[in-house]
Amino acid sequence: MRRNTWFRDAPIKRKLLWIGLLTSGFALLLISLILTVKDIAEWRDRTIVELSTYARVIGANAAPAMLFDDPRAAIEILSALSAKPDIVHAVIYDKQGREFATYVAPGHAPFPLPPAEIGAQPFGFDNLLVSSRIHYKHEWLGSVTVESDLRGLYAGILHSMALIFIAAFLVFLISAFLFARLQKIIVAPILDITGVMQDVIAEQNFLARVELHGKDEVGMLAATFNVMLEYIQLRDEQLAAHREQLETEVVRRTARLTEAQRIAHLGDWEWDIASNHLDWSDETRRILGLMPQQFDATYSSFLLTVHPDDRQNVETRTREALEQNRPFNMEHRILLPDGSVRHVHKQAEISRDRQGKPVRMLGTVQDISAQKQAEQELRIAATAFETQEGMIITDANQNILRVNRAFTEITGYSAAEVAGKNPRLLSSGRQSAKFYSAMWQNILHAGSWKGEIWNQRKNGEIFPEYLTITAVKDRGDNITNYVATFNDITAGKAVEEEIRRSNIDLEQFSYAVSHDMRQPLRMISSYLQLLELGLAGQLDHEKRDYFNHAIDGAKRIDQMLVALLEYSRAGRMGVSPAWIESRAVLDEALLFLQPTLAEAQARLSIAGDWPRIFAGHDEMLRLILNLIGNAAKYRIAGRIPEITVTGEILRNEWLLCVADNGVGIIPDQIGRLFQVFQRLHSREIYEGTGIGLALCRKIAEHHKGRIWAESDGVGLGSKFYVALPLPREQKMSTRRESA
Amino acid sequence: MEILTLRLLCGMLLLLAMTPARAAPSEYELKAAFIYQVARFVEWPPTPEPKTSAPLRLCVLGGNPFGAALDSIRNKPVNERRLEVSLLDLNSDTGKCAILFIAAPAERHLERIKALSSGAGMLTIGDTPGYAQRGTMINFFMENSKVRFEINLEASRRAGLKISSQLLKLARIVQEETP
Repeated sequence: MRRNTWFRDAPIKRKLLWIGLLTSGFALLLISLILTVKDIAEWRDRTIVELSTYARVIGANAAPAMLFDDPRAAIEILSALSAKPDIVHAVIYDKQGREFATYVAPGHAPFPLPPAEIGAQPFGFDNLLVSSRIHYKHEWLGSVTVESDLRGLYAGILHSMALIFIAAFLVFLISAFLFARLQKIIVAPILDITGVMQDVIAEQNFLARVELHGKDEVGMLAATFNVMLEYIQLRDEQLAAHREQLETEVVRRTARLTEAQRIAHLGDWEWDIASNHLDWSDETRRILGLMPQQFDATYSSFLLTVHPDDRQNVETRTREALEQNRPFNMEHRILLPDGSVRHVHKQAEISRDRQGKPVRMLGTVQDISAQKQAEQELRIAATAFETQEGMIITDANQNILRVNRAFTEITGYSAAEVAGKNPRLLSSGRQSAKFYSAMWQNILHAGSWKGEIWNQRKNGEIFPEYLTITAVKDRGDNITNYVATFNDITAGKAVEEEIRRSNIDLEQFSYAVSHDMRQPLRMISSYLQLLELGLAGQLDHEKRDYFNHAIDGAKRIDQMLVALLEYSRAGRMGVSPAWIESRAVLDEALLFLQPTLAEAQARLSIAGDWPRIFAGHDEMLRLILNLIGNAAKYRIAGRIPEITVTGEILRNEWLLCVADNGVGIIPDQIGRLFQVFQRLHSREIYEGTGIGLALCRKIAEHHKGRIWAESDGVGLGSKFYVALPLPREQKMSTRRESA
Repeated sequence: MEILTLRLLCGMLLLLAMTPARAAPSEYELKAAFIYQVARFVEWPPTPEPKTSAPLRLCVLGGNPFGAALDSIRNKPVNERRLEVSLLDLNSDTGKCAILFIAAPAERHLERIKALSSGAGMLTIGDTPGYAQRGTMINFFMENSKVRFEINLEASRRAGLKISSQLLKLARIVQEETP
């Protein structure tokens, strides 16, 4: 069984070799055996014929000896047999069967021969007896029996056999060699096929082909195999092409879906409830404000993105949807990492197993922030529309589309009455056609017009209104609508006039006060000093103090008046703005401040950018003087004041900062700093008029800038900032200078 | 069983019957037989007679030492010829004899017979010592109680006879004594 398996599994090459060798070996063996048998038979026959011939010759020669009864002569004849060593014994019998003459080969121990029978008969294994009759001219005289030793014959046969087998073996070797060579004719193509097959299996290389050797069965097998490979290759290619097409299609569709989701701000998600795994599309992640694969997609990580105020609601609604089989459809807010809020609309469907247990939730999330904002804006617009101002909206042809309630209240026309009509119906006729055409020219060119106009109410009353007409344009710069807003300024006109007048009065008053009051004040002060000098001897210490207080008070009033004068003049009587070097202004201020700083022993450092600025020189000088003067003034006794003046160019403005290590500011009093006559410290400690910072604010605001202060607290110093707008051109020239 | 016994009996009777025939032959019986056998090994010159199958005449000269033994060879075939036996007296003509046995008493005719046989194609046979040396072609003698013979080749050649070499191998060849 094992041997069977071995043979079954042996390579064809070996099988063929074995079959060939066995066949040829068996054939050769058989032929050798046949040849040997034939040889033996031939040798035997030849031996018998030979012996018979000898017997007959001896008989013929011995016949006369027998006729004349001469055994000696017969023995002499027999002795000729010594030339033939195989013949070991010969006897001539007479008619009566008596021995007439005998020959025994030298060295042979003769056995008595059996009664002779004519013909051949074996005698023992090694010997052969051949007998022949002796005649003379048809007269029977007796017989002769010859005994031959077959050992020589056997040796010959053995020799011959050996030759045959050696020859057969040589032939076998040659045939084995030939077979080994010739079997390749059959085996080589098969091995080729097998090799290619193994190649194909090992490397999946369906491009491989078997080389064709001929058109026999193996050749046909190879050809068929090649055809099969071709089919497989073709099918492979088709599959690959198909798969590629599918992949392209998938990529294309995924891209399209992603793009569609991006455009629609609509993401999808799938929640595997059992594993609590959420699968978010890219758009969903974007809407939720998550980076792709930012963290594990789970329900709780989703909840973290929900606005804290909405979380409870979302959880409740989700639970209800899962438990009560309600459709899930809600809006909530998302709190983005940057703190902004996004509104989303979520919809979902729930898959359940046979027990009704929720398995999966598949849904969408849509970013509806834009809609929400639009709604909000609409609400704002609607609210804004219903203000105290009258409002008209027309189409491009100036036909009224909408009016608000204020319009009706002011003009007396209801919305229905004016719809589709031209606003011209309000015209009072007080303005000329030229006025209107100029007005429209302005609207068409500048996009809007503002001004006062006289119109007529429904009841015929003519009233003044402050009118603003704005052209609404689409993206193509075409006018689509006109919006007109107006105020009834019948009342306002009078008030305005009054305020203007009172302002002028006030300014004249304050100027007069501050200017004209200084003269009598100086008189009081001067005469008080004269009086003090005159009474110098008579005044005791106490009375002298009274004088000093009075003189001091007068001086202070004078200072306050000066400051007030300055304040009222600020923005009104100063030099008009021009391009000036900020650094030059600073240096000028420092020159003025030299004594003050020296007295305070202050350390001053200057840093940063000092560009050319568009400002009034005197006002800027006053501003810097006040800020640095304050820094030196509000120092802590015993601490050397350190003042840092820094200029910094920001995006569209120049930021001036004056920092000190002085007394600082109580945080909740910072707001009072810049008000007129507001003092945070008693006069006893720090001198001052209470105008300085108020003036600074006025200067800053006059230059469309801002001023503010910062402090970490009392005793921790303070920083005063002034931000002034920096026109664009100036920035470039500044760069050039700094370079 | 009975058949077997009968056969055995028959065999024994036959053996008994043959015993007298197996008695040793007498000297002249043997010699007569030898004459016949010798004739078979001799070739005579062709006879002028047309019939080749003419009888071969054996003449016995000088008495008949064979007695009845001659009868055993009379008319026996010799090479397609028949052997005739005739007894001659001393004065008879030997012209028609193919074989001439010269008995001992005819010794004084020996010279004449020698001369006569020369070229006459007549085989001369004797059984007296010295005959061969004196011109007789074949001469019997006894050796170890066996009949042997000697041959005078010269005489046979003179007579124009051819004696077979096979016969010569068995004989003692003697030379003729010149007187």
